[in-house]
Order: sequence, then structure tokens, then C-alpha cells
Amino acid sequence: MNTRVLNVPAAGGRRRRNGVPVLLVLPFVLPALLLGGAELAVRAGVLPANLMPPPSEVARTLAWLADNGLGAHLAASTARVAIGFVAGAGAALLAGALVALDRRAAALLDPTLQALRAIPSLAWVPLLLLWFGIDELPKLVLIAIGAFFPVYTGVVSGFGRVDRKLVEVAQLYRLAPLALVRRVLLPAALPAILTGLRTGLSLAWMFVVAAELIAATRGLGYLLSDGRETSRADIVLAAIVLLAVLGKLSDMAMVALERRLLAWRDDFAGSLGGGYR
Amino acid sequence: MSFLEIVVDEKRYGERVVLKNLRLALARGEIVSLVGPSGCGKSTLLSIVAGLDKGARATVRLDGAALASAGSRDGDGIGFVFQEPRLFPWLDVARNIAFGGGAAPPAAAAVDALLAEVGLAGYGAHLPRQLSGGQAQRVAIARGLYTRPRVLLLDEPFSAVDAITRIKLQDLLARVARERGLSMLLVTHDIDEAVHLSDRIVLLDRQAGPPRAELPVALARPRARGDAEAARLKADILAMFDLETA
Repeated sequence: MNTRVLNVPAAGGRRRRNGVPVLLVLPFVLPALLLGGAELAVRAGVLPANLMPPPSEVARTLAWLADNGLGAHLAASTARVAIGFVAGAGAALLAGALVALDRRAAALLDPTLQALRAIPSLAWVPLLLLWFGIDELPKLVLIAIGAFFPVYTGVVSGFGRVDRKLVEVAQLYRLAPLALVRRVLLPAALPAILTGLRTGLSLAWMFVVAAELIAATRGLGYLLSDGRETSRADIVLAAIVLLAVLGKLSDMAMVALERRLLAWRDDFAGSLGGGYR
Repeated sequence: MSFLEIVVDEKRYGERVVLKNLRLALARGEIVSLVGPSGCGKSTLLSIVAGLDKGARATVRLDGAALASAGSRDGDGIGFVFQEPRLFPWLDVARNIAFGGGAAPPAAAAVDALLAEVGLAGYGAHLPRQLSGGQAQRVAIARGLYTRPRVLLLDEPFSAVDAITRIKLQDLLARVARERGLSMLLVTHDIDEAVHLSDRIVLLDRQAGPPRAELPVALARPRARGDAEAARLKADILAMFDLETA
């Protein structure tokens, strides 16, 4: 009879090298390589510095902007995203819940909303400008439209896929319609709703840029278009970096919320204690 | 007069009649098993008694009072244990057990007593995903008991667990029923289970209609497994299904 010895690596043996968890370092490898490569390429004259300013210059521009009104730009864009997202996501939660829970509301609303969803949201821009001028309102409406549809879809599919067997348990205990929503349907649909909210938030950032590129005097989108008009690639890149940072920060906040609310979930990402979703 | 009286005039799914002219009565504290081929309407019958089935022509009376169809009563007097545990994954064990008690925080003393009763003392703060299949079904039994039902309905409650766990859960159920004087209506495919647990076994036909047979199980409790009398009874039942007793 053969005796086989399983060669199992000691716990953590793959994760740690010299005491530093590999998984914590790996995410920074590609950005460091790209930034270092860009810096070297510009200094060696491979890339034209006026079109591709080296990362060190972008950093200096960021520092200069910080003393010259960057705060106002950041505040303007963040406020627009916040207001537009809350309005769009709030409307979507309401409409989605109505459509998911009431057959008549579904027949009334869903076909129209699905048709509107098929319109690329940017196609609304000229109409919004005609209707609301170049004030704040068209920007907020555009962001709200962008955030609306992913949240709406998440809510409808989330409610629609609640396990019928769990609903039956609720019926056994004669839950009233409102209690059924609050105690069973909403928690069960929460994963899909949160996914919709997360997508909606990232779309809100996308549309704030679109809105500010077209007509604005403040905001990161304005910085982008201002940098292009004055041929300042360093300002354009600085604005892009800031958009990336803000987008990532708000997404991380959503992920933290997701982890908190969905700690009960029994799935692959949960068993990894996080993971990349 | 019987404690629980079930009269199903007719229940159909589309064109197919699943239950017809079926009368079934349980005495107080009696344990009755429903045995029959797949698709004979056993589970449907439980749904009707629980008020989950809205499309049946049927009346159910508990202790003389009519239980109307679904939606009109507050789950009074009837507990239900499903084939799967059907626990709410976002609620801890304590809140799952107390689900039928409303949205308020669970009554700690009542939940602790139930946890001890089903052999899971100290598990109140666990989430369903941390439980084994047998433990989850114990929680489901505790949930079924939380509202202090007078009748417990069980739909193949142990068919998804391994053989050893099944024996333990059957013993648990027999003890709970005895201690609480609970009436139980149990749907099962497992004839050993029916013989071990029931006071009476009702055999349903695939053809909708009155039961094919009713067999009293006059074995003393608590029952030992592998009893010769029980084996004879099992053979009788299998013979009625035109099977060889292998």
C-alpha cells in the first residue's frame, strides 16, 4: 500500500515574503511601473513633454492648483455628483420598488422606462441645455438621469429574484405587505440594489464630467476643458488624476457599505474576506 | 369531535385534479404521517392546512373553529417546517427563530429555551451560513415552535440530511411532540420514519380521492429502532405499494 504525503504549503507561506504581504504590494506594481516609465521616457526625450508632461510635473501642477482654487473645483464637482446621484438613485429606488411590487405599476411604467433607458444618456444634453439653459439644473438632471437607470435595473431585478420559498415563510406568518417588503424582500434584494447603486455612482462621476465639459465655470470637467484650450496637458492630467481619486474614494465608500450591510452573505467574495468585486 | 379537521373537496392545478373528496382528522396530540407516491398531493395538502394555498376548495377546522384561506388569520395555532430549513440568511439564529413574533427584537428567554430544546444552546448569534444542514433544520424546527402552535406541519423535513442526522432529528421531534402534547401532520417518503414517529399512517393514492388506507401504529413509546413489530408494519405498507420487501 502506498502512503502519500500531501505537499500542503504552510498557512500564509505564499502570502508573505520578508514579512510583507504580497497581496498588499501587488496592486501598486503596475502604476509604479507606468509612472516611472513615463517619467523616464519624457526625460530621455522619447515622449514630447508638452503633450505628455512627466508625472513629477503633474504633481507640481497639482500642488500649484491646490493653492489656486482647486478646492472650489473639487467642491463643485462633488456637490453636483452628490445631489444628482441622490436625486436619480432616490427616484430609481421608488420607481423600481413600485414596478417590482405592483403589477399595474409595472405595466404602466416599465415599458416606458425601458424605452428611455435605450437612449444614450448624453443624447439628452442638447435638450437639457435648451430647456434649462447652462445653469446648474441641466447638469444635475443629466447626472440624475445617468444614475437612475443602473439603480432602477438593480432594484427591479433584485426584488424579482427573491427566493419564492422565503416569501412563502413570510406568508405563513401572515406578514402584511409593508412588513413583507421591509423584513423579507428588501434585505433579500439588497445585494442587487447595492450593485445598482455602485454602478449608478460611477456613472454619476462620468456624467458630471460630461456636463462640466460642455458649460461650466467651475469643476473638474471645467479644468479638463480649460487645460485643453490653453494647451496645458499637465492640467488635463491633473484633473484626470483627481477624477480617478474621487471616483475611487466614493467607490470604496460604497464597497465598505456593501461589506457592512451584506456581512451575512455566504459567497465566494465573502469567504475570501473581501476580494475584488 | 376531532381536534384538526381537514376536508378538501377539490384542488386542481390547471386540468389536473390533485386532491378530491379527501377527509382527514387528527386528535389532540396525535401524530399522523402522510405517505404516498410523488405527485399525489401530500405537500399540497399541507399548504392548504397552512393557508398557503389560495386555489383550493377546502375547509380546515382547528378545535372547532374554521381556519379560512390564506391572508385572513395570523398564523394562529399552526407551525410549519419545510423540506429545506428556509432560514433568512441575513438574520442570526435568534432572529430567525423569533421571525413569527414580529419585527421587534426576539424575546431572549423564549429563544434560549427553544435553542436548548433543539440542542443548539449558545447558537443564537450565529448566522445561517455558519450552520450545518442538520443544525439549520433544528433552527427551522425551533422557528416552527416559537409561535406556540397547536399543530405542527412537516413537509419531508429530514429528506435532505444524512442518515445519522436524520435519526437524531427524528428523535428530537418525537421528544418535542411528547413533551408539548403537539399534534403533528408529517409528509414523508421514508416509511421507517413514518412508522417510528406516527400514531397513524395515512396512505394516499396517485389517483385523487379518499386515502387508500389508514394504519394505526400501536407501538409503545419511546420506540426502539429495529423493532420486529415495526418491521412487520413496514412490510404491510410496502405491500400496499405493490413493492417487494427487499
